[in-house]
Amino acid sequence: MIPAFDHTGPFIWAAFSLSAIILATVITGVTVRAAAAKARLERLEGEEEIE
Amino acid sequence: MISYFANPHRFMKLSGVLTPWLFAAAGVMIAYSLWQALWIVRPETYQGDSARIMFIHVPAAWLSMAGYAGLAVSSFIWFVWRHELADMAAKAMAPVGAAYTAICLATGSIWGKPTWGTWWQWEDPRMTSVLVLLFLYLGYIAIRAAMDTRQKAARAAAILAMVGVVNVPIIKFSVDIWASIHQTASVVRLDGPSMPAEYLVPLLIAALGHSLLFTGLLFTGMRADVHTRRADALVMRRLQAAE
Repeated sequence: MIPAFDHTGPFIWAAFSLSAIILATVITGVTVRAAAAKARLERLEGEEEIE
Repeated sequence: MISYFANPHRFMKLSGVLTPWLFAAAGVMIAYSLWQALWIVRPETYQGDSARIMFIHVPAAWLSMAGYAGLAVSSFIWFVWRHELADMAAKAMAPVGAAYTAICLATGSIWGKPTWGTWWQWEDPRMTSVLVLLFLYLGYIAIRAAMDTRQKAARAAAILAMVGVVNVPIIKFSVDIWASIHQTASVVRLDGPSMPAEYLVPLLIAALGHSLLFTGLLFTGMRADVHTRRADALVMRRLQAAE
């Protein structure tokens, strides 16, 4: 059930939504970069083993 | 102790185990604090429902300052002892700290409109000093990206981080020293918190949850840097072998 607020409701939703968007962006950025770095290392190590 | 944890192999082993648990605990605590903030706590006597914004604004404010203090300490450790993990920690802290500072500024501005009747006031020492903090984080990230070698980037960024840390106590005490529309501290006070337990407990749980998320993201960023450096070393070795 969506909570009902007084006249400041739009401000509350705006604050929490904006925070969620910023956090989701930074979490995605950090985890994607980490996954890419790990995949690159594994690929290079794999090539090293083949050689 | 610093040298013990400065070993990348030991860090990778420890962080590999800890990081998923940090994210899981952070998820549970943040979800609980959101449930409390949006559904359970009663509207505040004077501010009404808008006080609920506190449950994201205050943890973000604390983490923006703690993050920069951590950035400065890590930079100092790298500067003095040249522990590469400290430099990786500083580098990984910057985007997360900048994100929390942006959240603090955005939610503070949104909360300010119904409470003070204004989105922003340039004369206010708390607002402008937090904006300066955001610029310091962005400056740190920009300096790291602009330098052509890793050593130069680490050195220039470390100097900025160590000089810029003077802004952290300015932010903390700005509302006590200068006239500000921002309220004075209501949790971290010499005479104890002035907030009722109904608000204080979920607020502290939210702060702990976001701190664990910050740490999880810090470890993830550092692990990515360790992987990148190992991969770069492999490429260098291949190039040298080919010559």
